[in-house]
Amino acid sequence: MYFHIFINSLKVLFKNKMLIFWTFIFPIVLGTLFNMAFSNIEKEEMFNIIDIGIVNDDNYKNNQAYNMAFSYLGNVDDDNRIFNISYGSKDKLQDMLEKEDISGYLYLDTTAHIIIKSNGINESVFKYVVEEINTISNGIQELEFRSIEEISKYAISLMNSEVKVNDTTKKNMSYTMIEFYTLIAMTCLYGATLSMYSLNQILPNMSNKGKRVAVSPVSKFKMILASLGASFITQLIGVLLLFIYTIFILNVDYGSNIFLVILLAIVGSFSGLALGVFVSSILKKNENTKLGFIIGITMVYSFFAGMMGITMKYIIDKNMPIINKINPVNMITDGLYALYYYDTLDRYIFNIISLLIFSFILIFISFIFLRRQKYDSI
Amino acid sequence: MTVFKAFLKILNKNKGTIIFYTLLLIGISYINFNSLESSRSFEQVKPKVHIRDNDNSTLSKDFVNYITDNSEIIEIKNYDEALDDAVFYRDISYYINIPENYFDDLLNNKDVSLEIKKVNDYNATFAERFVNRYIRLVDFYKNNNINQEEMIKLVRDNLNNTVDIQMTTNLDTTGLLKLSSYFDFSNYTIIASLVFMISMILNSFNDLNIHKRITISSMNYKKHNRYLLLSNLLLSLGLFIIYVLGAFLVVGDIVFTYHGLVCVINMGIFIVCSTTMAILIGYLITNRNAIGGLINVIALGTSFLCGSFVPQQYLPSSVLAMGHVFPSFYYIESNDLVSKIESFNLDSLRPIIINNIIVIAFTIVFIILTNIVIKKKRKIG
Repeated sequence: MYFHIFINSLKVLFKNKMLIFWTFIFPIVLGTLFNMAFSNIEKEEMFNIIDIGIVNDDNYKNNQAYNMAFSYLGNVDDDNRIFNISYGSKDKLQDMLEKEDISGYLYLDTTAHIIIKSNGINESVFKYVVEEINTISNGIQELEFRSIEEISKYAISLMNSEVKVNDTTKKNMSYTMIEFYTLIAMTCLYGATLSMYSLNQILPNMSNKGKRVAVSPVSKFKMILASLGASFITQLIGVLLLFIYTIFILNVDYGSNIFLVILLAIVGSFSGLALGVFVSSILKKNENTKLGFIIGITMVYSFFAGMMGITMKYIIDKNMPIINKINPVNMITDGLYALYYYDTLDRYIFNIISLLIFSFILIFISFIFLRRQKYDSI
Repeated sequence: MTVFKAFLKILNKNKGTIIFYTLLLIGISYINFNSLESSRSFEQVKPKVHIRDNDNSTLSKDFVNYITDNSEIIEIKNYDEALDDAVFYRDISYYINIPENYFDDLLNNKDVSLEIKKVNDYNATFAERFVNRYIRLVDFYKNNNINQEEMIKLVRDNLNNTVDIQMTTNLDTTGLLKLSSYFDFSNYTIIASLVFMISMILNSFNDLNIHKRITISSMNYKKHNRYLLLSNLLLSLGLFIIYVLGAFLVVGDIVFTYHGLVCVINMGIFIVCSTTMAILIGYLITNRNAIGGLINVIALGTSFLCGSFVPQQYLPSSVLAMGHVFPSFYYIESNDLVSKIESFNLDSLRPIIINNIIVIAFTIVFIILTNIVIKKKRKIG
């Protein structure tokens, strides 16, 4: 009998287009959009060569420090150069600036002058480098060196001598991954729509089918277990499809421990199931209202977990951690982040335990509401 | 009046959607813009840095002061993973830990290094230049046998030189960035709230039983449709006014400049276009749940592909090419163009006018399609 109810519940779930849309199709559409929008953003943030101009009049040609520095900083044979330099007259460079072909240009008279169009990081770097060149020039003047070789040697040491650093930055730094982690988390929670729907089918106060089921000679516990089992399996199939899509099509990196990722997804899906059972048993409203509530609350959870802006998760974690400590979408997102970014498992285990506590609290409350429900008439 | 009353009743039931998305627009814009200071003169970008000084020597204190002057120092909460989290989420671009006796060892030619953590971005590269410049100067003076007291003075004197910098534009670039970003983001909230609401309301009127009752009622169907259209336009006008007031709240009185005026006009044209799109969806799709799903996909899809969430300049060209098929693209592009206009004349406004004509063309297409759909549905009925 259990197997019979299980199979029929599966059929019912797969025939419901709305549920399939929210748990199967919507996350894949959203993942595709994330991938399109964020594919360039980290590349754009990386330091690129800055286009600048220099007025190459006699003042510039006669200034050795500037000549030397800019020929080094704009050396086209050096892949690590910071400037792409256009030389020309003031008018030509002004024209290039107006067309935004260059971030700014430099001209020298008794001192250095920089002309820029607007504020920005490129303009700031340009100004700072010119000040650095002044530093070199001043440093050499203070020590009153004489020979060109000595000037050259010290100028290069000021510009390029090695400052030893011990870089302890972690390896995995792609923060746009958080978007995809929130997507997985959201899909796990959307599983609530499936368990809510399944439970609604067997609650006598929710549907006519429920009334018929209530008078049938089948153990209610067995019935609930089979229906929820079917919704859990459907949900896992949705999450699995999303994993396959994000890993193989969108190249999302979940770190090296895929088994722990799968375990988190299973526990996360279980919390989604618990949420659905909770909403279904507590909220005495029609199915559409319950569906709207689950989608709405999952969106709010996802918002705080960083789906609509990655920094939101960090802002909440830093300033109001309690909000995210009780947010199941964040628990799953944070668990995936911990696996991706950290070498230790403490944070991951904390999130798994939090999810289990969240799920069991919801199931316990639902159990209190559902047990021993009997109707003389309905 | 009966139609308008029914319209208001349904609207009142769903007012939460409008309130939620209006708060989302104002709230997210406020959070994003809060740290941006408006300026008409050059302002050096300050990378976000966290620095820990375990050396506590005169030189290390001076070094910390120098970094503090040139960066935005971020405090990190005191828990184990706080620092690594801050680097990952770009709360800081650069972290410097000065070990004990660092400068003493450096001056004594010992092999010493600073511990750093950094993000692979412009700001970190910039912060790295500050660090390198200071340490290289110390190294330079050390190699030339300058003593420590004199060294601090020389290093500071040398670092204090500034270069003359002039900006050719006197536009408040930060203020204009806030303005265009607010209007860009409104694309999402307009579609997710206004289009959703109108489609849902029309869908209620188009329910088969209600539709039959309306058809046999004494009210002429043209009059009924006219009332419905006016009600929808009134809702759009109301939302338009709320969003303009929201813009004033978030970005300030720049809304009342010519730049602001053009953005407001862009929004007005786009809202009319969205209203016609909503009417089309409301008549075309009968399943209420399907409308919810479709509008979610349209709102998120256009926002991601057209530059509402991520600025158009950061989107790959293939994505931008795809975005051209939506009116949102032209609305968002117009807002971005406004922020670059220095003087208002026909030449500078031409691309914005063209974009608005395209949005109006979309509006006309939606109206024609709606008429075709209504005509077909009447025939079937």
